[in-house]
Amino acid sequence: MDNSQLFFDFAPIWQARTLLLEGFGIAMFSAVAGIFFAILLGLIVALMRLSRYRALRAIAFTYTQLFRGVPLYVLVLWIYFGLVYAVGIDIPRIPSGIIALALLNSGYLSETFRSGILAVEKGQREAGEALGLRPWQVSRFIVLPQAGRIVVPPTGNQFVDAIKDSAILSIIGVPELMKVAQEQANMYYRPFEFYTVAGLLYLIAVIIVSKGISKLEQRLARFSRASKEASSGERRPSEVGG
Amino acid sequence: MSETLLQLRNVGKRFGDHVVLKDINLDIAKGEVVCVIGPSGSGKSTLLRCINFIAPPEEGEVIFEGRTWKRFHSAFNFIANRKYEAKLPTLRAEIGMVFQHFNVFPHMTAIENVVLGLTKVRGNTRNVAREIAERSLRQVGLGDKLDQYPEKLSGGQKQRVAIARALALNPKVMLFDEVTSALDPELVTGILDEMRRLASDGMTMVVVTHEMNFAFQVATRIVFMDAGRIVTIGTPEEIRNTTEPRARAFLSSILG
Ligand SMILES: Nc1ncnc2c1ncn2[C@@H]1O[C@H](COP(=O)(O)OP(=O)(O)OP(=O)(O)O)[C@@H](O)[C@H]1O
Ligand SMILES: [Mg+2]
Repeated sequence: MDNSQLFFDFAPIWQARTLLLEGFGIAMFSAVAGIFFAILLGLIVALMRLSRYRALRAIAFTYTQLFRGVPLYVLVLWIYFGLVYAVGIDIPRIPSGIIALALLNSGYLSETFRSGILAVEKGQREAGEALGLRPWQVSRFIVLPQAGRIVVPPTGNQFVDAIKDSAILSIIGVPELMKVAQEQANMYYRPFEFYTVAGLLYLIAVIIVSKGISKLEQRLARFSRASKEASSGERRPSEVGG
Repeated sequence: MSETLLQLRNVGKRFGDHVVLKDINLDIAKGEVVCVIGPSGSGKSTLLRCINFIAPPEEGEVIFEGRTWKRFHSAFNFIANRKYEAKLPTLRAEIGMVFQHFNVFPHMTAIENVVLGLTKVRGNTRNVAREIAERSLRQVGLGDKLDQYPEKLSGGQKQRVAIARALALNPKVMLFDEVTSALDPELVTGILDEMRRLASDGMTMVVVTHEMNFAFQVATRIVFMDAGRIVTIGTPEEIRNTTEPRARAFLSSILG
């Protein structure tokens, strides 16, 4: 039977299902790994921005501006092709993609984390210091856990963005969902079907992640009324020295 | 009075160009209850915060149990500055502080609030810390709230957690900064009774307060501050009969 006669034909999707799911897996893996490293980097950069040392603050500020200002498209090409030609660092496709996602998202997350830390009442740090805790202990046990609760929703949004952004990794040949969909769409001459399914898979992932984040938010909400309760008094931002 | 515990010598504090404390001299003996009164903005909170260097004074020194603490002044001597800062926690560990807005840790249960200092500052094991914390919370009447998060506690109960948290470390002096000002009126008496109990147990206390009845009944001495200076110090009797015009004006405004 000649499939090309049908207006819609989703049979090729079924034939390419394994490839599509593998691509989906690689897309998710890239997004998760990218966000994971972005959180680590973002936290370090946020702490540097709140440091008492001007040099650290300047480095962190530059970092944030740089990676928030460069399109992911450029960053991906720069890491995968640019670094090989310029300095001979040859990073494989998937790690290149993950690094690009991590750098870009860490720029945004460092801002998120910085404002999360500043949103913790100043009295919290003071109470910790008054107990005789060392500054790093105050950060570790008092300020950061509270800031962590504050930044869950924006970090979740960033994760959702990273899932969608992972599609851009197709330009360097990472065999993720979008790349697979493109190849199969061309092979079967069925772009509508393949891109529809690819879109739906991203959508499903995004919906599941968003649900998970709001569940987490609700669980944490039980303990995080501190900033509201403080409205009875003056609210001054806290600082994390580093 | 018995031996001196705490001395402030020519203490001065600025925020930028704004001089907030000027030439503060005060000796506090063991077991004393010193109440600090004065108009809003006169520097009462800042005075307390200079004692434990939460707001380090630029001038003067604090002598605690014979040991002198003073802010190190070199912008260039990096190592000396860090050394001085690294020692501050050992001073603060001996000084308990309770705040107007409680500042309990909202992400920890009542008992965890108390355990934190016991393990991280005093180096107790978790089990020992929990025992001490439980005793400390029972003492302030929170034996049945050990595992509650602050969100579920009333203002008075939160302030009790804060008091237990400070007392559990067995401090040599307690600083109270208007600890009843943010409480609903019906909860004030309970906290003041808690402080009376502490005072009669012999705790050395510096208490910033607007509760004049408490000050007149419990204080060994009352300090009246205005515009960043100590204007007059005296026993409750002396302050009640003071002829210093600013203190008189303040007292008549507050006592009606
Ligand atoms: N962190 C700060 N930065 C700048 N100025 C400050 C700071 N803390 C306090 N001040 C100023 O220092 C002065 C004294 O403040 P302080 O809080 O010690 O007064 P107070 O006597 O405790 O007043 P209140 O009865 O209202 O609590 C005020 O003019 C205040 O604006
Ligand atoms: Mg005050």
